Amino acid sequence: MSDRGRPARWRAVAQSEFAWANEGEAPVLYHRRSGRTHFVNAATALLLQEILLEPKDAGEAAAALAAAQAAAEEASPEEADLPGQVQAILLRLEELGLVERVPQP
Amino acid sequence: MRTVGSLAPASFASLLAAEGLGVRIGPFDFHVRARVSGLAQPLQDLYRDYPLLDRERVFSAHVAMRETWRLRGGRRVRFSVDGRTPHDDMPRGQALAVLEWGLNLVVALRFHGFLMLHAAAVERNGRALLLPAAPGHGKTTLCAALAHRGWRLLSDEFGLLRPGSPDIVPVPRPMPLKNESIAVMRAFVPEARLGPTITGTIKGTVAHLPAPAASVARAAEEAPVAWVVFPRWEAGARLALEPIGAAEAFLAIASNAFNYETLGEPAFDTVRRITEGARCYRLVYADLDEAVAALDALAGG
Repeated sequence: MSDRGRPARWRAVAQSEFAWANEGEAPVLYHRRSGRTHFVNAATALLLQEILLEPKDAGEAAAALAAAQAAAEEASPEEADLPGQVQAILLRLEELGLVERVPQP
Repeated sequence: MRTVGSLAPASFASLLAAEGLGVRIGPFDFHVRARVSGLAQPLQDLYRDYPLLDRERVFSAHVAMRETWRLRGGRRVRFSVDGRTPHDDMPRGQALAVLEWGLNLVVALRFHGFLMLHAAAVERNGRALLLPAAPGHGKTTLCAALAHRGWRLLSDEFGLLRPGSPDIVPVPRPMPLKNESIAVMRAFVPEARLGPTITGTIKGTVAHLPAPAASVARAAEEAPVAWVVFPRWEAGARLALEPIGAAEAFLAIASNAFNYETLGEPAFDTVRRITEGARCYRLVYADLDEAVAALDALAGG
Protein backbone atom coordinates (compact mmCIF):
# COMPACT_ATOMS: atom_id res chain seq x y z
CA MET A 1 0.00 0.00 0.00
CA SER A 2 1.18 3.53 -0.63
CA ASP A 3 1.47 6.17 2.04
CA ARG A 4 -1.93 7.48 0.97
CA GLY A 5 -3.48 4.08 1.63
CA ARG A 6 -4.03 3.38 -2.05
CA PRO A 7 -2.49 0.32 -3.69
CA ALA A 8 0.92 0.84 -5.25
CA ARG A 9 1.10 0.90 -9.03
CA TRP A 10 3.91 -0.47 -11.15
CA ARG A 11 4.96 -0.36 -14.74
CA ALA A 12 7.70 -2.16 -16.62
CA VAL A 13 10.89 -0.24 -17.19
CA ALA A 14 11.56 0.81 -20.79
CA GLN A 15 11.34 -2.09 -23.22
CA SER A 16 14.65 -0.97 -24.66
CA GLU A 17 16.26 -2.28 -21.45
CA PHE A 18 15.17 -5.83 -22.35
CA ALA A 19 16.45 -8.45 -24.77
CA TRP A 20 14.56 -11.73 -24.98
CA ALA A 21 15.35 -15.31 -25.95
CA ASN A 22 13.17 -18.43 -26.18
CA GLU A 23 10.06 -16.29 -26.32
CA GLY A 24 6.83 -18.23 -25.99
CA GLU A 25 8.43 -21.34 -24.55
CA ALA A 26 10.55 -20.68 -21.49
CA PRO A 27 11.59 -17.06 -21.80
CA VAL A 28 15.05 -15.81 -20.97
CA LEU A 29 15.48 -12.12 -20.35
CA TYR A 30 18.66 -10.08 -20.58
CA HIS A 31 18.38 -6.81 -18.65
CA ARG A 32 20.69 -4.34 -20.34
CA ARG A 33 20.88 -1.89 -17.46
CA SER A 34 22.01 -4.43 -14.86
CA GLY A 35 23.76 -6.82 -17.25
CA ARG A 36 21.91 -9.72 -15.64
CA THR A 37 20.15 -12.65 -17.26
CA HIS A 38 16.83 -13.82 -15.82
CA PHE A 39 14.94 -17.04 -16.45
CA VAL A 40 11.28 -16.17 -16.11
CA ASN A 41 7.96 -17.94 -16.60
CA ALA A 42 5.43 -17.07 -19.26
CA ALA A 43 3.27 -15.05 -16.85
CA THR A 44 6.17 -12.83 -15.83
CA ALA A 45 7.11 -12.31 -19.46
CA LEU A 46 3.52 -11.29 -20.18
CA LEU A 47 3.60 -8.82 -17.30
CA LEU A 48 6.83 -7.24 -18.52
CA GLN A 49 6.08 -7.24 -22.23
CA GLU A 50 2.39 -6.33 -22.29
CA ILE A 51 0.42 -5.93 -19.11
CA LEU A 52 2.70 -3.46 -17.37
CA LEU A 53 3.31 -1.23 -20.36
CA GLU A 54 0.79 1.00 -18.58
CA PRO A 55 0.84 1.41 -14.77
CA LYS A 56 -1.27 -1.08 -12.85
CA ASP A 57 -1.72 -2.15 -9.25
CA ALA A 58 -1.47 -5.82 -8.29
CA GLY A 59 -5.23 -6.36 -8.60
CA GLU A 60 -5.40 -4.83 -12.06
CA ALA A 61 -2.34 -6.73 -13.20
CA ALA A 62 -3.78 -9.99 -11.82
CA ALA A 63 -7.07 -9.36 -13.63
CA ALA A 64 -5.24 -8.71 -16.89
CA LEU A 65 -3.17 -11.83 -16.39
CA ALA A 66 -6.25 -13.92 -15.60
CA ALA A 67 -7.95 -12.61 -18.72
CA ALA A 68 -4.95 -13.51 -20.82
CA GLN A 69 -4.76 -16.97 -19.27
CA ALA A 70 -8.48 -17.52 -19.76
CA ALA A 71 -8.11 -16.53 -23.38
CA ALA A 72 -5.32 -19.05 -23.68
CA GLU A 73 -7.25 -21.59 -21.54
CA GLU A 74 -4.32 -21.81 -19.13
CA ALA A 75 -6.08 -20.95 -15.85
CA SER A 76 -5.53 -23.47 -13.08
CA PRO A 77 -7.24 -23.96 -9.68
CA GLU A 78 -4.12 -23.22 -7.62
CA GLU A 79 -4.15 -19.68 -8.92
CA ALA A 80 -7.08 -18.71 -6.70
CA ASP A 81 -4.98 -16.07 -4.95
CA LEU A 82 -3.70 -14.60 -8.16
CA PRO A 83 -3.61 -11.00 -6.88
CA GLY A 84 -1.45 -12.09 -3.93
CA GLN A 85 0.88 -13.99 -6.19
CA VAL A 86 1.14 -11.09 -8.61
CA GLN A 87 1.87 -8.75 -5.73
CA ALA A 88 4.82 -10.97 -4.72
CA ILE A 89 6.06 -11.11 -8.30
CA LEU A 90 5.85 -7.34 -8.65
CA LEU A 91 7.89 -6.80 -5.50
CA ARG A 92 10.55 -9.22 -6.75
CA LEU A 93 10.63 -7.59 -10.17
CA GLU A 94 11.01 -4.24 -8.46
CA GLU A 95 14.02 -5.56 -6.52
CA LEU A 96 15.54 -6.67 -9.81
CA GLY A 97 14.93 -3.30 -11.45
CA LEU A 98 12.58 -4.72 -14.05
CA VAL A 99 9.50 -2.75 -12.92
CA GLU A 100 9.22 0.58 -11.19
CA ARG A 101 6.63 2.17 -8.95
CA VAL A 102 4.56 4.94 -10.43
CA PRO A 103 3.71 7.91 -8.20
CA GLN A 104 0.05 8.21 -7.28
CA PRO A 105 -1.68 10.96 -9.26
CA MET B 1 53.56 -22.99 -44.75
CA ARG B 2 56.26 -24.71 -42.71
CA THR B 3 55.20 -26.82 -39.79
CA VAL B 4 56.79 -27.52 -36.44
CA GLY B 5 57.55 -31.03 -37.63
CA SER B 6 59.54 -29.76 -40.60
CA LEU B 7 62.37 -28.72 -38.30
CA ALA B 8 65.10 -31.18 -37.46
CA PRO B 9 64.72 -32.16 -33.78
CA ALA B 10 68.02 -30.54 -32.89
CA SER B 11 67.01 -27.29 -34.62
CA PHE B 12 63.64 -27.30 -32.87
CA ALA B 13 65.25 -27.84 -29.48
CA SER B 14 67.82 -25.15 -30.13
CA LEU B 15 65.28 -22.57 -31.30
CA LEU B 16 62.90 -23.40 -28.46
CA ALA B 17 65.58 -22.80 -25.87
CA ALA B 18 67.15 -19.72 -27.50
CA GLU B 19 64.98 -17.19 -29.32
CA GLY B 20 61.78 -19.24 -29.16
CA LEU B 21 59.30 -20.33 -31.84
CA GLY B 22 56.11 -18.91 -33.27
CA VAL B 23 53.27 -21.42 -33.52
CA ARG B 24 49.73 -20.90 -34.80
CA ILE B 25 47.11 -22.67 -32.70
CA GLY B 26 43.66 -21.96 -34.09
CA PRO B 27 43.09 -18.19 -34.01
CA PHE B 28 46.06 -17.59 -31.74
CA ASP B 29 49.68 -16.94 -32.64
CA PHE B 30 51.80 -18.00 -29.70
CA HIS B 31 55.47 -17.32 -29.19
CA VAL B 32 56.87 -20.19 -27.11
CA ARG B 33 60.27 -20.29 -25.49
CA ALA B 34 61.32 -23.02 -23.11
CA ARG B 35 64.59 -24.03 -21.53
CA VAL B 36 63.62 -27.28 -19.86
CA SER B 37 65.56 -30.47 -20.39
CA GLY B 38 63.52 -33.27 -21.92
CA LEU B 39 60.66 -31.03 -23.05
CA ALA B 40 61.57 -30.31 -26.68
CA GLN B 41 61.06 -33.76 -28.16
CA PRO B 42 57.58 -34.51 -26.76
CA LEU B 43 56.52 -30.94 -27.48
CA GLN B 44 57.62 -31.19 -31.11
CA ASP B 45 55.85 -34.55 -31.43
CA LEU B 46 52.58 -33.12 -30.13
CA TYR B 47 52.73 -30.00 -32.30
CA ARG B 48 54.42 -31.35 -35.43
CA ASP B 49 51.47 -30.51 -37.73
CA TYR B 50 51.03 -26.92 -36.53
CA PRO B 51 52.09 -23.95 -38.68
CA LEU B 52 55.42 -22.48 -37.75
CA LEU B 53 55.40 -18.69 -37.77
CA ASP B 54 58.10 -16.21 -38.53
CA ARG B 55 59.00 -13.89 -35.68
CA GLU B 56 58.12 -10.67 -37.48
CA ARG B 57 54.59 -10.38 -36.18
CA VAL B 58 52.56 -9.33 -33.20
CA PHE B 59 51.91 -12.48 -31.20
CA SER B 60 48.76 -13.19 -29.24
CA ALA B 61 50.97 -13.99 -26.27
CA HIS B 62 54.56 -14.82 -25.39
CA VAL B 63 54.76 -17.85 -23.16
CA ALA B 64 57.94 -19.13 -21.61
CA MET B 65 59.15 -21.82 -19.30
CA ARG B 66 62.44 -22.31 -17.54
CA GLU B 67 63.86 -24.52 -14.87
CA THR B 68 64.21 -23.39 -11.26
CA TRP B 69 65.65 -25.11 -8.25
CA ARG B 70 64.56 -25.16 -4.64
CA LEU B 71 66.45 -26.48 -1.65
CA ARG B 72 63.41 -28.43 -0.48
CA GLY B 73 61.43 -28.64 -3.69
CA GLY B 74 64.05 -29.96 -6.06
CA ARG B 75 63.99 -29.11 -9.75
CA ARG B 76 60.90 -27.27 -10.84
CA VAL B 77 59.64 -25.29 -13.82
CA ARG B 78 58.36 -21.74 -13.96
CA PHE B 79 55.68 -20.85 -16.52
CA SER B 80 55.28 -17.24 -17.55
CA VAL B 81 53.19 -15.29 -19.99
CA ASP B 82 54.42 -11.96 -21.30
CA GLY B 83 56.96 -11.94 -18.50
CA ARG B 84 54.49 -12.54 -15.68
CA THR B 85 54.25 -15.71 -13.61
CA PRO B 86 50.60 -16.67 -13.00
CA HIS B 87 51.21 -19.50 -10.53
CA ASP B 88 53.79 -21.26 -8.37
CA ASP B 89 56.64 -23.26 -9.85
CA MET B 90 55.70 -26.86 -10.59
CA PRO B 91 57.70 -30.13 -10.62
CA ARG B 92 60.00 -30.35 -13.61
CA GLY B 93 58.74 -33.79 -14.53
CA GLN B 94 55.35 -32.25 -15.22
CA ALA B 95 56.72 -29.56 -17.57
CA LEU B 96 54.71 -30.64 -20.63
CA ALA B 97 51.43 -30.72 -18.70
CA VAL B 98 52.23 -27.39 -17.03
CA LEU B 99 52.92 -25.77 -20.40
CA GLU B 100 49.66 -27.12 -21.84
CA TRP B 101 47.64 -25.97 -18.84
CA GLY B 102 49.45 -22.66 -19.04
CA LEU B 103 48.27 -22.18 -22.62
CA ASN B 104 44.72 -22.95 -21.48
CA LEU B 105 45.07 -20.40 -18.73
CA VAL B 106 46.24 -17.75 -21.18
CA VAL B 107 43.27 -18.38 -23.46
CA ALA B 108 40.75 -18.42 -20.60
CA LEU B 109 42.01 -15.25 -18.95
CA ARG B 110 42.94 -13.13 -21.92
CA PHE B 111 40.94 -13.59 -25.09
CA HIS B 112 37.61 -12.09 -24.17
CA GLY B 113 36.96 -11.16 -27.75
CA PHE B 114 35.43 -14.66 -27.83
CA LEU B 115 32.66 -16.18 -25.79
CA MET B 116 34.53 -19.08 -24.20
CA LEU B 117 32.63 -22.18 -23.22
CA HIS B 118 34.22 -24.95 -21.19
CA ALA B 119 33.38 -27.42 -23.89
CA ALA B 120 34.75 -29.82 -26.41
CA ALA B 121 33.62 -29.43 -30.00
CA VAL B 122 33.79 -31.60 -33.10
CA GLU B 123 32.45 -31.20 -36.62
CA ARG B 124 30.94 -33.38 -39.28
CA ASN B 125 29.51 -32.35 -42.66
CA GLY B 126 29.93 -28.69 -41.83
CA ARG B 127 27.97 -28.83 -38.57
CA ALA B 128 29.41 -28.66 -35.07
CA LEU B 129 28.61 -30.79 -32.05
CA LEU B 130 29.25 -28.87 -28.85
CA LEU B 131 29.99 -30.88 -25.68
CA PRO B 132 29.92 -28.58 -22.64
CA ALA B 133 30.79 -30.28 -19.38
CA ALA B 134 32.26 -29.81 -15.95
CA PRO B 135 35.68 -31.36 -15.25
CA GLY B 136 35.52 -35.10 -14.73
CA HIS B 137 32.46 -35.68 -16.89
CA GLY B 138 34.38 -37.46 -19.65
CA LYS B 139 34.36 -34.59 -22.13
CA THR B 140 37.94 -34.98 -23.35
CA THR B 141 37.72 -38.77 -23.62
CA LEU B 142 34.51 -38.61 -25.62
CA CYS B 143 35.93 -35.82 -27.79
CA ALA B 144 39.11 -37.80 -28.44
CA ALA B 145 37.06 -40.84 -29.42
CA LEU B 146 34.89 -38.83 -31.81
CA ALA B 147 37.97 -37.18 -33.33
CA HIS B 148 39.18 -40.68 -34.27
CA ARG B 149 35.81 -41.86 -35.60
CA GLY B 150 35.12 -39.50 -38.47
CA TRP B 151 34.56 -36.22 -36.67
CA ARG B 152 36.88 -33.25 -37.05
CA LEU B 153 38.36 -31.99 -33.81
CA LEU B 154 37.55 -28.34 -33.18
CA SER B 155 38.64 -28.29 -29.55
CA ASP B 156 38.72 -30.54 -26.53
CA GLU B 157 38.64 -27.68 -24.04
CA PHE B 158 37.29 -24.41 -25.45
CA GLY B 159 34.09 -23.82 -27.35
CA LEU B 160 35.13 -20.48 -28.83
CA LEU B 161 32.49 -18.30 -30.46
CA ARG B 162 32.65 -14.81 -31.84
CA PRO B 163 29.99 -12.74 -30.05
CA GLY B 164 26.77 -12.84 -32.01
CA SER B 165 27.78 -15.83 -34.11
CA PRO B 166 26.80 -19.50 -33.57
CA ASP B 167 29.95 -20.68 -35.37
CA ILE B 168 32.63 -22.51 -33.39
CA VAL B 169 36.14 -21.16 -33.94
CA PRO B 170 38.50 -24.18 -33.97
CA VAL B 171 41.40 -24.32 -31.59
CA PRO B 172 42.57 -27.93 -31.94
CA ARG B 173 45.09 -28.83 -29.27
CA PRO B 174 46.65 -31.97 -27.86
CA MET B 175 44.05 -33.71 -25.70
CA PRO B 176 45.10 -34.39 -22.08
CA LEU B 177 43.83 -37.85 -21.20
CA LYS B 178 43.71 -38.50 -17.50
CA ASN B 179 44.04 -41.61 -15.38
CA GLU B 180 41.80 -44.45 -16.60
CA SER B 181 41.09 -42.60 -19.85
CA ILE B 182 44.65 -43.22 -21.00
CA ALA B 183 44.19 -46.99 -21.19
CA VAL B 184 40.69 -46.54 -22.59
CA MET B 185 41.98 -44.47 -25.48
CA ARG B 186 44.99 -46.72 -26.08
CA ALA B 187 42.49 -49.52 -26.62
CA PHE B 188 40.09 -47.35 -28.62
CA VAL B 189 42.78 -45.93 -30.92
CA PRO B 190 45.64 -48.48 -30.88
CA GLU B 191 47.53 -46.57 -33.57
CA ALA B 192 47.55 -43.33 -31.56
CA ARG B 193 50.96 -42.07 -30.49
CA LEU B 194 50.41 -40.54 -27.09
CA GLY B 195 52.87 -38.20 -25.44
CA PRO B 196 54.77 -39.22 -22.32
CA THR B 197 52.83 -40.42 -19.29
CA ILE B 198 53.09 -37.75 -16.61
CA THR B 199 52.35 -38.91 -13.08
CA GLY B 200 51.56 -37.08 -9.88
CA THR B 201 49.92 -33.98 -11.35
CA ILE B 202 47.08 -32.20 -9.60
CA LYS B 203 44.79 -34.09 -11.98
CA GLY B 204 46.51 -37.44 -11.52
CA THR B 205 48.28 -39.17 -14.39
CA VAL B 206 48.13 -37.36 -17.71
CA ALA B 207 49.10 -38.31 -21.27
CA HIS B 208 48.43 -36.12 -24.30
CA LEU B 209 46.84 -37.41 -27.47
CA PRO B 210 47.88 -35.25 -30.44
CA ALA B 211 45.18 -33.51 -32.44
CA PRO B 212 44.64 -35.32 -35.77
CA ALA B 213 46.68 -33.72 -38.54
CA ALA B 214 43.59 -33.13 -40.70
CA SER B 215 41.95 -31.18 -37.88
CA VAL B 216 45.01 -28.98 -37.47
CA ALA B 217 45.17 -28.38 -41.22
CA ARG B 218 41.52 -27.19 -41.23
CA ALA B 219 41.81 -25.05 -38.11
CA ALA B 220 40.63 -21.96 -39.99
CA GLU B 221 37.29 -23.58 -40.95
CA GLU B 222 34.56 -22.57 -38.52
CA ALA B 223 31.31 -24.52 -38.16
CA PRO B 224 27.85 -23.58 -36.81
CA VAL B 225 26.58 -25.40 -33.75
CA ALA B 226 23.93 -27.92 -34.77
CA TRP B 227 23.85 -30.02 -31.61
CA VAL B 228 24.60 -29.31 -27.98
CA VAL B 229 25.15 -32.41 -25.87
CA PHE B 230 25.95 -32.25 -22.15
CA PRO B 231 27.89 -35.48 -21.55
CA ARG B 232 28.42 -37.26 -18.27
CA TRP B 233 30.37 -40.49 -17.92
CA GLU B 234 28.98 -42.73 -15.18
CA ALA B 235 30.35 -46.18 -14.39
CA GLY B 236 27.85 -48.87 -15.28
CA ALA B 237 25.23 -46.44 -16.55
CA ARG B 238 22.89 -47.36 -19.36
CA LEU B 239 23.26 -45.07 -22.33
CA ALA B 240 20.74 -42.24 -22.24
CA LEU B 241 20.56 -39.44 -24.79
CA GLU B 242 17.60 -37.26 -23.89
CA PRO B 243 16.47 -33.96 -25.38
CA ILE B 244 16.30 -30.94 -23.10
CA GLY B 245 14.40 -27.69 -23.46
CA ALA B 246 15.83 -24.47 -24.77
CA ALA B 247 15.71 -22.66 -21.41
CA GLU B 248 17.50 -25.47 -19.59
CA ALA B 249 20.08 -25.56 -22.36
CA PHE B 250 20.45 -21.78 -22.21
CA LEU B 251 21.08 -21.88 -18.47
CA ALA B 252 23.55 -24.76 -18.78
CA ILE B 253 25.51 -23.12 -21.60
CA ALA B 254 25.61 -19.68 -19.95
CA SER B 255 26.69 -21.22 -16.64
CA ASN B 256 29.37 -23.20 -18.44
CA ALA B 257 30.99 -20.15 -20.06
CA PHE B 258 34.22 -18.71 -18.69
CA ASN B 259 33.23 -15.15 -19.53
CA TYR B 260 29.45 -14.85 -19.96
CA GLU B 261 29.19 -12.11 -17.35
CA THR B 262 32.23 -10.31 -18.73
CA LEU B 263 30.83 -10.05 -22.25
CA GLY B 264 27.27 -9.18 -21.24
CA GLU B 265 24.69 -8.83 -23.99
CA PRO B 266 26.88 -10.18 -26.82
CA ALA B 267 27.22 -13.38 -24.76
CA PHE B 268 23.45 -13.52 -24.22
CA ASP B 269 22.91 -13.03 -27.94
CA THR B 270 25.41 -15.76 -28.80
CA VAL B 271 23.79 -18.28 -26.46
CA ARG B 272 20.38 -17.27 -27.81
CA ARG B 273 21.53 -18.03 -31.33
CA ILE B 274 22.92 -21.39 -30.27
CA THR B 275 19.76 -22.49 -28.45
CA GLU B 276 17.52 -21.29 -31.26
CA GLY B 277 19.51 -23.09 -33.93
CA ALA B 278 20.70 -26.27 -32.25
CA ARG B 279 19.09 -29.39 -30.84
CA CYS B 280 20.08 -29.90 -27.22
CA TYR B 281 20.51 -33.14 -25.28
CA ARG B 282 21.83 -34.64 -22.09
CA LEU B 283 24.01 -37.74 -22.51
CA VAL B 284 24.83 -40.27 -19.79
CA TYR B 285 27.18 -43.03 -20.86
CA ALA B 286 29.53 -45.69 -19.60
CA ASP B 287 30.64 -47.32 -22.84
CA LEU B 288 32.59 -45.16 -25.27
CA ASP B 289 31.57 -47.14 -28.38
CA GLU B 290 27.90 -46.80 -27.47
CA ALA B 291 28.24 -43.07 -26.89
CA VAL B 292 30.02 -42.55 -30.22
CA ALA B 293 27.37 -44.61 -32.02
CA ALA B 294 24.57 -42.55 -30.43
CA LEU B 295 26.20 -39.28 -31.48
CA ASP B 296 26.86 -40.65 -34.98
CA ALA B 297 23.17 -41.49 -35.21
CA LEU B 298 22.26 -38.02 -33.98
CA ALA B 299 24.36 -36.44 -36.69
CA GLY B 300 23.01 -38.78 -39.33
CA GLY B 301 19.39 -38.27 -38.39
